[in-house]
Amino acid sequence: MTTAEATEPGHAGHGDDATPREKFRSVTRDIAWVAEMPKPPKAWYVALGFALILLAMFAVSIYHVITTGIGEWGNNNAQGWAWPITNFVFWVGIGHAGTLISAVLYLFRQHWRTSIARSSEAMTIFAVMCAGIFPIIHTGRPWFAWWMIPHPNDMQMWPQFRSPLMWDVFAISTYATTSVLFWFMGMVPDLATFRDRSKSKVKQVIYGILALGWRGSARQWHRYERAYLILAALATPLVLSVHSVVSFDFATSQLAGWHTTIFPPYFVAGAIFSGFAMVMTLLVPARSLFNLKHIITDAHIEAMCKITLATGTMVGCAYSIEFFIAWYSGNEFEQFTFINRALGPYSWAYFIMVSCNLIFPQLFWIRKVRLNPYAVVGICILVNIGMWFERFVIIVSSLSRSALPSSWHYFVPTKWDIMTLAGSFGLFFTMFLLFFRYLPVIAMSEVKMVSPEAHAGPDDHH
Amino acid sequence: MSATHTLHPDEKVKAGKIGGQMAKIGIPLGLVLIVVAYLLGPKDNGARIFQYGYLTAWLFVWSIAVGCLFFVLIHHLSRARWSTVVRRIAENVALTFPLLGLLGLGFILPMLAGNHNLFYWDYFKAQPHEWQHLDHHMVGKGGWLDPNVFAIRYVIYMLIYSGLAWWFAKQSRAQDESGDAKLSERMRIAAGPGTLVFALTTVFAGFDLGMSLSPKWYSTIYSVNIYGGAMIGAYAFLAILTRSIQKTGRLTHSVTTEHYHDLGKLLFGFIFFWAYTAFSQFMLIWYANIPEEIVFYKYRMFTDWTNWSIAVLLGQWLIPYVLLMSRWTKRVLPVFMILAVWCLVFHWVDLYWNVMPNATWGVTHGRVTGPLSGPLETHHVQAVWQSIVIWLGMTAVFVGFVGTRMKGNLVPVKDPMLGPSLGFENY
Repeated sequence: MTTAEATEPGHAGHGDDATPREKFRSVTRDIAWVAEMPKPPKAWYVALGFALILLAMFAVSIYHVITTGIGEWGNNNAQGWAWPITNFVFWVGIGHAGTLISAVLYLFRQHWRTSIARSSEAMTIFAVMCAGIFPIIHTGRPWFAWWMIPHPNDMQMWPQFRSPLMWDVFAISTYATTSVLFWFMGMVPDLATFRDRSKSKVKQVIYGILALGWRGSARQWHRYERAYLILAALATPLVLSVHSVVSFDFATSQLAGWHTTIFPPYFVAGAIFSGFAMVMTLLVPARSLFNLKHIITDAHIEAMCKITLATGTMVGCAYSIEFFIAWYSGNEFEQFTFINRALGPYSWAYFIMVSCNLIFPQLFWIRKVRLNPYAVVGICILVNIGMWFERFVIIVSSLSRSALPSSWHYFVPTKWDIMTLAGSFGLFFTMFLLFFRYLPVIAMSEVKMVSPEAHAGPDDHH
Repeated sequence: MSATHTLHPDEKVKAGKIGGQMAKIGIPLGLVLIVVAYLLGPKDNGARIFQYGYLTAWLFVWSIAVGCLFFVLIHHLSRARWSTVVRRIAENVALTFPLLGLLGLGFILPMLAGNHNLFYWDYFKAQPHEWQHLDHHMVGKGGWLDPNVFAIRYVIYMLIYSGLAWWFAKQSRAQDESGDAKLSERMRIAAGPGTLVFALTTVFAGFDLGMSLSPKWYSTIYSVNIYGGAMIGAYAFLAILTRSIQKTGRLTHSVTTEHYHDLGKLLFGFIFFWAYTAFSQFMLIWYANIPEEIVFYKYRMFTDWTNWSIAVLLGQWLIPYVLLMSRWTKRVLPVFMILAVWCLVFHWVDLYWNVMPNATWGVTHGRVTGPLSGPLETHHVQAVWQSIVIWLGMTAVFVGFVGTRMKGNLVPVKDPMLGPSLGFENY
């Protein structure tokens, strides 16, 4: 890697007459500029300020709930899971797009993924961080969380391995570990570029440590490529397993509305759906803010819109199948649960879920909508709202009308419920904004590798 | 990286007489085998075992056509390049739907004619009204599981499949003449809604033709699992058919190891997908242990069917999954062909395991019991040889049907993506 001046991206290297070398250089310069610009745009400060306020709210609400007790939430005997687990499933779902983009699309040779993979992977990790907090605080005694890790002990106490909640612990910790490894290892060559371009001694040392002595030799590249492929192959089953295991939390039970065999693939499709919606919610404004529209192009946004449309439609089909089978089963409890969802006390939530997840995404059939950034962000925010409500409908509406009518209860969230949920967005956005400012947001080497200039033939631009 | 190639000057891309030969041999041979199976097989309960064997075999060929239709749809939807050289063969397989629709009348017409021995719900509907009302689970869906309504739905499914297959094949063949790139665009645009229609059709076809054999049992993932199996059958069949065509001297330069390698990867992927859906269904039902659901596995795990269950686990999933993981097993073609045949055989074993245990029902000790009920020791694997002969016969008829559709070019010769497909390489 060569040391280069930290310069603002201009038009050099972007024109048709630019040589391949100039084009490659412009990719490095434009991506590095996000971290190298002396001061980020004002909008970044505003967003970070807002995110930090939410983060502070998160810290306060967690402190309050832990020190006072989870009775501060609206949970009650019938609604044991309510908001905390709704939030948990929501955030795990958000974390799905990263691995899908980085691993599954990699194995499917979808080269368009290169521009968005890094930031999606980062988003995955931050979403899993948010997700992990909820079940831990939901236990009410988070200081005993380490009991979930199987270890020999004097009390001869072991986790309940037959419980899907324990499977969750293993599935999500495996997912988090693999995602961090994949993300960090993919960043090593780019961190070396940052190290080489840094003017400040502090940055040189920090990026230098993170770059693990990367020199860009052929041997290093060879091992890097092998490791990347192996990690992609290992991560691919995780895309299916994580949310499938989350769905087992519900589907292994005998509760009508929870126990249905289509839950595993339906949860996975929903997770990818919400994950892509969140990727677009973040990247569409970010690419404008940091002048990256020529790298994260309209074609990338369009492709993501199509995946969102496809997965949203799959989720819609699953809703229909659930309804049909509830009727077909002849089981009056199943039938009641689904009629109650649509017409019962939570029908407003059901209506939000169906309209946001099934109806609005259908607008992505129209190309003009896919190319309009305001429409894309608007629909994606609706999808995220809809997917939160999907989990709310599944959890709360089923528990509020269980088989024992004396347990029926209408759940109302308290201010602590709302603050914990809103605060978790503070953690997520803070982490994402810091990532965008200080780490390579796009995999430079990968973008160069799939650019037309990297290949001799005129037709090899996959 | 792949490069763009053009068709080899010596390449034989015309089907020529091959289709006619397949039809001349396959259809009569297959029909004879089916008739022989009927004549020599057991005739009790209105030849119920024959009817179940016939339905299993029909589901086998139907599922291959379903998988090939999906192959065509997803090719256009994802703008795939590599699969262009094998797409026409898949189109030809999917074009058999109208004929498969006729073949399916073999179990639809007896039902309409008053033979109530295939579907228990059909038998149930024919019982006295007062007796029916003792089983409210069945009464509620009496309008849906009615012979006439069922037959109408069957016709609708076949019309949708046939229409989709016909439309895409028509555009594709028109492009052979005109070379118009707009036709590719048109197929790509139609593939989106086409896939949605295909998915809904397959979901309900799966519920009707498979799940309703045990009408009190239900599973929301059932058709997804059937679809997974269909894709295994389709990729395996496509690989074998393409290789067989190459043995006649056609497509020898166009379809290369690279294409088989990709077919193998997708076969491997769908074996995983099938196992995932099968596990989801099994684990959730086993864990919850609800009486009306658990019977599906109870009568497959603790009766004569135990060994079949183990065979499905090993043969449909574990063995091909492990073997297809390696690169060489997909690229050394004789090995890949053996694995493809293996997958086809076990796809039938899986369907047989899905269908046949439902055949044990009727009046025992003056009491009517539906499928998957009664003492475990009364559930037996019956006359497997008969079902095997029917399956071989039906497969021969199906190959003959594919032959009738094999006319003109065997590759889309003017498809804009043919060049990249011909030069495709795995790297």
